[in-house]
Amino acid sequence: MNNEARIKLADILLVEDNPGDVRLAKEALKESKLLNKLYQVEDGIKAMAFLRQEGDYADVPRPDLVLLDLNLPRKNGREVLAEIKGDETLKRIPVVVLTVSRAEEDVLKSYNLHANCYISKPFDMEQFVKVVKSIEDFWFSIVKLPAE
Amino acid sequence: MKKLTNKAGQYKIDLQALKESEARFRNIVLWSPDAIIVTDAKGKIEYMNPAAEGVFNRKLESFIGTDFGLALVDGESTEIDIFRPGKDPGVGEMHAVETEWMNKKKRLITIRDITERKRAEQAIRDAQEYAESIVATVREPLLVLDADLRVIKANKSFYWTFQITPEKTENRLLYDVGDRQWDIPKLRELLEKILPKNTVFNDFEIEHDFPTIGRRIMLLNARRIYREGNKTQTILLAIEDITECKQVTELKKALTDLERSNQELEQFAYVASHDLQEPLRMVASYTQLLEKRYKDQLDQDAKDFIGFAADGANRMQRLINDLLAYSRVGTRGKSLEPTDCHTMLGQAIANLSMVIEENHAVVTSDELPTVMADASQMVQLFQNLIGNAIKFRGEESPRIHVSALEKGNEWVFSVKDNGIGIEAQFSERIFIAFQRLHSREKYPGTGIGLAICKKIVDRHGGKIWVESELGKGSTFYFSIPKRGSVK
Amino acid sequence: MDKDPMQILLVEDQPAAVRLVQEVLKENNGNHNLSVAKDGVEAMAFLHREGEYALAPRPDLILLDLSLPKKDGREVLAEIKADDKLKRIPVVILTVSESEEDILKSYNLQANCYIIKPIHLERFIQVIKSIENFWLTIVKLPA
Repeated sequence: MNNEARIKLADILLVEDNPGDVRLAKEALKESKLLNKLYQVEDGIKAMAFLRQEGDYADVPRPDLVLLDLNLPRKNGREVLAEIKGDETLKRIPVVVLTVSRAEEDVLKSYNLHANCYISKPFDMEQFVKVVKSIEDFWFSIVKLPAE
Repeated sequence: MKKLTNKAGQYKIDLQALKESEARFRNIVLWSPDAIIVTDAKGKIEYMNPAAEGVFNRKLESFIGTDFGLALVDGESTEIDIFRPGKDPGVGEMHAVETEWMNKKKRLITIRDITERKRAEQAIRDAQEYAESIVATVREPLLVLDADLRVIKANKSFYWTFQITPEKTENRLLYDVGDRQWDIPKLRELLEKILPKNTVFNDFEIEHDFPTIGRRIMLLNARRIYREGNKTQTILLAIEDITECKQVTELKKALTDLERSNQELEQFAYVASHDLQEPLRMVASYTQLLEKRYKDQLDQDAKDFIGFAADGANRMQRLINDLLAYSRVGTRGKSLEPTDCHTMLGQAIANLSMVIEENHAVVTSDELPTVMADASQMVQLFQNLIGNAIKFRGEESPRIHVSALEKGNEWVFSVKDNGIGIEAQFSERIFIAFQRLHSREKYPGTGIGLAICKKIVDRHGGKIWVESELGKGSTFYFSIPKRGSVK
Repeated sequence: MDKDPMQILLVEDQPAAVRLVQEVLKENNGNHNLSVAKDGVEAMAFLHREGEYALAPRPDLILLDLSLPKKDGREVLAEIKADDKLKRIPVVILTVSESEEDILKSYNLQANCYIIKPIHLERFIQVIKSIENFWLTIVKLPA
C-alpha cells in the first residue's frame, strides 16, 4: 500500500472552437479514472484571459495542461502559444497542440515556439477519443507536472 | 604691654602700645563678618558691630540701651532668623558668653550666618534620602558593606530574594550572614582580590547552591567608595539573579542545537535513502529481467534463488520508501491551517478506492469538524488507518466508521473497524516503527504505517491510541487540539 | 507509423541504467534506433555532429538524465532549447530527482516533459513503453 497521500485533481484547459471536438474530448475524459476537470474556451483572447485569471476568469485555477487548437477566431493558436511560452509564469504549463493541420510548417513552427508536443487530430471519432485518452494517460500518469 | 615704673612706683602707660592694641581690637570687631553684641549684666545693649546691624537691620543708635530681647542660654548656641544685607533673609547661629571687664559683668553675644551651611546640610539630607529611596525601590538586591566586609545595610529586595531577615544580616560579616551561606569562594575572590585593585568591577558571575533557594546564578556589580568625610571605605554590591535568564538562554541554545541536529538527521536520512535507491533499482530490475528473459532456461533452484534476491531487493526498496515517508512527516510538514476533515476523509477514501472495491468495504462517517491541521498529512492519517482496517480484515467484509467527539479543548477522532483486532499487550508496540505482529506472508507491509500516523498526530500536538478486542475489531482514537500549535 | 526507425538519443552516465533502457526497448519491439551519450559534453558533440560524431543521426527524441558528469543535464537542456536548430527536438527529462525545484526549472527551460524514473521494473517498463508509444505513434514529430 502506498503510504504517501496523493491529492489528485488536475485541471485541463481546452482551447477549441469546434463544438463537436469539444464534446468528444469531454466524453473521452469522463471515462478516465483520474480526477480531472475540463475547462473550455473557444478563442485565443479568452484563452489568454483564462490563463491570466483576468475579468470573467478571475476565479479560475491555473490549468495543469493546455490542449490547444491552432485555428481559432480572434487570436489564433500560434499567437497564444507564443504568448504562453513567452510569459515567465505561464511558460511552465505544458501545451499540447491538438489541431487538424498536418503541414510540416505548422509542426516545425509549433515545436520552435516550444509547444510540448504536436498532435494531429485523427479524422476518425474513435481514434480521436483514443488520442485524448492517451494524452491524459501520458501527461497525468507517466509525466510529472510542475507544482503550482 | 611693657610695664614701666617710675621712681615713685606708679605705672607709666605706654601710650603707643595702647593705641595699637585699641586699633587692632577695634578693627577686628568692626570688620568681623559675624555679628558681635555686648550687653550689660541685665541684658541692655551697650554695643553692636556693623555686622550685627545687618543681622537686625537696625542701626546701633536705635539699639543702645534697649533690651536684647532674645533668650540666651550661656554657653549654648541657638538658631535665629536673621537679615542679610543684599541677600534673602537667612538663619544665624547665636552664641552667648558671660564675661567681665573693667570690673563689670558683661554679656558677649555672637551671631554667625549659617544659612549656607544649613542649605548644605539640607542638601546632604536630601541626597541621603534620595539615595536611600533608590536603594529601597530598586528591584535588585543591594548590599552595603564596610571596609571589613561587614553588612552596613541591605535593601528589601535582598531580604526578599534571599529569604533572609535583617536581624541575621545587618552588622554581620558578609560571610557569616544566613548561616554562612554567603561564604562563597568566588565571592571572596571578588571582594578580597579584585576589588582592592579596582574601584569598580561589573558583571561578575557567581554560581552557588543556596540552602534556602537552591542553585542560583548571579551577576554582581561591585563598587568601592572612599568617603572623604569619615575616611572610610564602603563597598556596594548589586546582585542580579540571572538563573532563569540563563536557563532560558541555555534552553534556547539546547533547542537550537536539537533543531539543527534534527535537521541534519533528517537530511542524512533523506540523502541516504535517496542514494540507496538507484543501486537498488539496478539490483531489483536486473533480477526481474533475468527472471523474465531466461525463465525457460532456468531450473527451479535458479528461479528460487533469483526470487529471493529480487524479493530482498524489493523489501529494501519498500523500507527505504517508508523511511523517506516517515522522515518527510517532519521535513515536508506544512504549517497548520483550518482543514475540513470531511473533505480530507473523502480524499483518503478516493485514494483507497481500488482496495475498497476489491474488499467490498464500506466506509461511513459522522459529521467531522474543521481543525487546525496540515491537510495532506490528515489525508495520510485517515488513509493509513482506513487502509489498515481493510488490510487486517476478518471473514466479513470490512465495515469502517469514522467519527469525532468534542472533548474540552480538543477533538477526539475514532476509526472503528470489524477486523481481526489486536491483543492488548501489543497496543502500544504497534506505533513503533517497523514493529510487526504478523508474518510477511499473511499481511504484507513494513510496519511503518502506524508509526507515520503517530508522528503526524504528535506533530499536531495530539495523542493516538487503540482499543481493541482480538477477533472482534479495533477502534483507533486520535486527538487533535483545537487551534493547536505545531511542534 | 513511419518506415524509418525513430532515432532516440539517450543521455545517461550509468551503464547499468543504459542497458536497462536498451533491454526494455528491445522488449517493446518498437521501430527505433538508440544512440547513447554518457555525459553532457558527448551529448552536445553528438547533437552538433562534431568530431567523431560527424555522421551522427539527428535524434527525433532525446531522453535526458539530469545528473551527468562533465556537463550536467540541466545545462544540456538549456543549450538545446536555446539553439535554433536543436530546440525543435523533444526532450524528455528522465531522471531520479523528485525535487520540485528541478521539475520547475526543467519546464521553465522548455523541457517537453519531465518523468521520474520509477523504482520497480514493471513500472519502468510501462513508462518506457508509454514514452515510445506516445512520441512514436500519437505525436507528430518535426521533420
